[in-house]
Amino acid sequence: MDLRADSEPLGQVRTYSDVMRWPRWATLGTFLLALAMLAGGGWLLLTHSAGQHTVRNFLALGSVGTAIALLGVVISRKVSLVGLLLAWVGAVTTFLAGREVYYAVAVADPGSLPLDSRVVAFLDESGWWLFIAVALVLLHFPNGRLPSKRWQPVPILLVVLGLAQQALGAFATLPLAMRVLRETAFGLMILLVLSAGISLFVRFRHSTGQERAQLKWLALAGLAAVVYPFVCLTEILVTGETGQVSTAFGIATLIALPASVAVAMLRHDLYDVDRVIADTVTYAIVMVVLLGTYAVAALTLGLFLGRGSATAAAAATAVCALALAPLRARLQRTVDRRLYPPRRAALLAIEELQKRIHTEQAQPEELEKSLQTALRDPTLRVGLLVPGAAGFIDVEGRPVGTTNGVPVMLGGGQIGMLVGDSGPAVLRAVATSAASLVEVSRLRAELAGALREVEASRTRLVQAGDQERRRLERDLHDGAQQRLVSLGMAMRLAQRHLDDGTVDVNGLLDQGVAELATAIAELRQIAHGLRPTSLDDGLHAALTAITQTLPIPVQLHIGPGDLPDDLATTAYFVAAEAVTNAAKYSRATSIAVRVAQSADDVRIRVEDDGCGGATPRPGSGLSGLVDRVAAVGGSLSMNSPAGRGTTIEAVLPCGS
Amino acid sequence: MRIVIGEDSALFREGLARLLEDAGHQVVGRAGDAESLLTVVAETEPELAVIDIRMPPDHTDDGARAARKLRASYPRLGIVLLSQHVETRHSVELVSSGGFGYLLKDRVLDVDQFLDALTRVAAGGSALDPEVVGRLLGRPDRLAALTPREKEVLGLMAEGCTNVGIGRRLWLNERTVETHVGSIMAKLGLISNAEDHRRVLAVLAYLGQN
Repeated sequence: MDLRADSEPLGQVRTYSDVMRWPRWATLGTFLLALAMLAGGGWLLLTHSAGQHTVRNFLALGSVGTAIALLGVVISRKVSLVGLLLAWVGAVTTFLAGREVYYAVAVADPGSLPLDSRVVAFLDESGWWLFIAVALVLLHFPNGRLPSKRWQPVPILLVVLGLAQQALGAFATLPLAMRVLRETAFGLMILLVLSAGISLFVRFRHSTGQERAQLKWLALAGLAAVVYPFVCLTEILVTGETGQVSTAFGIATLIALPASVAVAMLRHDLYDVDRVIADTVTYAIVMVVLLGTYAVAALTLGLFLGRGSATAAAAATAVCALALAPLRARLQRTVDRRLYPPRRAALLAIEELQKRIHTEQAQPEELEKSLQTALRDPTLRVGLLVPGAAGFIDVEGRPVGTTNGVPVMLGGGQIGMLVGDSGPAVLRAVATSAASLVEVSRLRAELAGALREVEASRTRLVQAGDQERRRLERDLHDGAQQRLVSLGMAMRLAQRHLDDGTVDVNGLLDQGVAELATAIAELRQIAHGLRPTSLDDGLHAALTAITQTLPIPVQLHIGPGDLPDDLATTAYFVAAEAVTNAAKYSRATSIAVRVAQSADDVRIRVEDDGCGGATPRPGSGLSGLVDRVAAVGGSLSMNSPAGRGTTIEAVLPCGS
Repeated sequence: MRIVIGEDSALFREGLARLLEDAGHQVVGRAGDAESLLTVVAETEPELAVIDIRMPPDHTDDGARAARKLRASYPRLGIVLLSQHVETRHSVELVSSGGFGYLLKDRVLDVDQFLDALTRVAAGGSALDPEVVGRLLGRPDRLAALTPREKEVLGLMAEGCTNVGIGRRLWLNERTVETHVGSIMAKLGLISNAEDHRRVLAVLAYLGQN
């Protein structure tokens, strides 16, 4: 049986534990609220006239907000709290989009909508909830729990300060004390929002494996925010004002956060976050440098050729194109070294190991150690799927667990398991590259196991042979030889008294012949132990000779046809040992022996209806049989449930 | 001669006792295992003990170990060990100490020589099975200088025979035997000694050394 064919890839264990019910319902409610606001805003736009600009902004912001809320619903199925908070972010975004429509309609078509200045003042302050929601997402990302107990006051304080801001902001004029209070509350709120970002760093430093990978995804979104000012600056340099490029990038930045959260929460194990970060950083730097080069080139050439000259633009483009190719490759290497060490190091280690194996300086079994060193992960284990072993084992036969592991696949089947704290994405990449080495180790382990078994079996056979010879020697020395010497002494005695008539020579000779007969019988028995001579008359005759002496009825069903001599001997010993064992220990009332021969094999099956529960102890007759059967390439199996009899079956191959 | 037999096979023990008594000796004790052998010897104080090497309780070399203990307690007790098979190292070492015999069980059937060996050992001499001697002499390098006749004489010397005994076995007169013995001792560089069993010891020591 091919073990790989039907085994599932193991180790994709999800560890979220806090799937609560109410936040999921709340998330759904928040999403429906966002939908309602989207519908409301849409209705306002359809029934009232507003500027094209307003329509475009509403469509962009409203759909992004609704999408974020929907994402919250999806994520809430895994980590309910993070999902709820994300839905909140979406709902606030949609609300803000709707608010703009409301204002625009109210301005463009005065009197068509109820408008109160207090309501406007109140709504003006609601934008802060977006920041608070984002801060709360960051605080609870990725597992729905705060980084530690010390952070517990932060979310509560954030909400309280948000409410205070909302309440106090609605009043245009306030006494000085209240104004001071408002400004203080505002400052504190901004600080807390910033601290949410800091909480991510704290979390990152203490994280390992999956959580670390998830946080890195979030960091990816942060990158976009870092690059954003550069993009704006470049656009200003080139065109003289911020325009469509900056806007597009801004929207991308806005989408990046929920997208990163989504990937981190839902599919973080699908992609290699380090790879994505490294690539993003590389392309971001390339872009910034290119834009800078283009700007400088365009400005410089523009001085000579005139602003807006097509030649200047073309020349600047050419300069950029020339710089691009070498720059990107070199940058990629540098960034990889900085940001992408684990995977790269592991892949290099695999490559290096392969080289050393080719030059016979290393063994494939050193893979685990190489990877441990390269990934700086002492918990990394390489588990091999070896037939006959329970679960995964390492090259020394010790078991390997499957938590935090990724499967190693080859040719569509699983051949092993890579376990460690380096994160699933890195492990997955390493598993792909190391598959052939794992396969070699696996096959070698399998072969070594088989060889060990053969060696052990051979040792047992030799020992059994030695033991048998010792027994024979004792039987001969203590039995037949003693008897013959005694006989000799009796003859001498008779000889000495042949003439004087003091000894009954006739009786002495009788006694001597009787001794001789006994000695002959003993010798015959010993010879029979070596190979049952009754086998000459066929297996049936030989087994009948044994079963007749037993107190339990034995049914023999032996198929027609002669077996080759060695198979017949093995079959005889299997049946004889099993039957004798059953008669001795099983308290059976009947025993059945079946010997069936097909084109490929001979099957010997011995069943009894006794007490069962037999186990082959080392050194027992049964374990000796296992070796004897293995010596002719066969296999022996035993089924002995307690109280339900024992079945022993040997299959001896006899194909050509 | 007062003899104790230590032998676990009753068949052989009784046969041997019958043979010895028939030859005029007195079998004063019989033991079936090493333990009771020591008791029986202590009780009967025999001149000679005939002991099977392999006996209960361990069925290994219990008889030989019992013999060493007996030798330590009764230095003047003659001991003949009987064995089923030839074993050179221990046998030569034991026999070299004098008053010791080592014979295969089958030698019992050469009744006269067997009885002769028992008498010799009881008198402080030695008896080494010809099979063992044969193996000792089988190393040609050291005995290259000896003539075939001298090798025969040396073999009998090693078995523990006296000059008279050697003469009887080889149909030679005593004077001729003495000449051969002198020549052998000279060729092997051993000191010729009038006393028979010391001579045996010298020969065995020579043959036994590596």
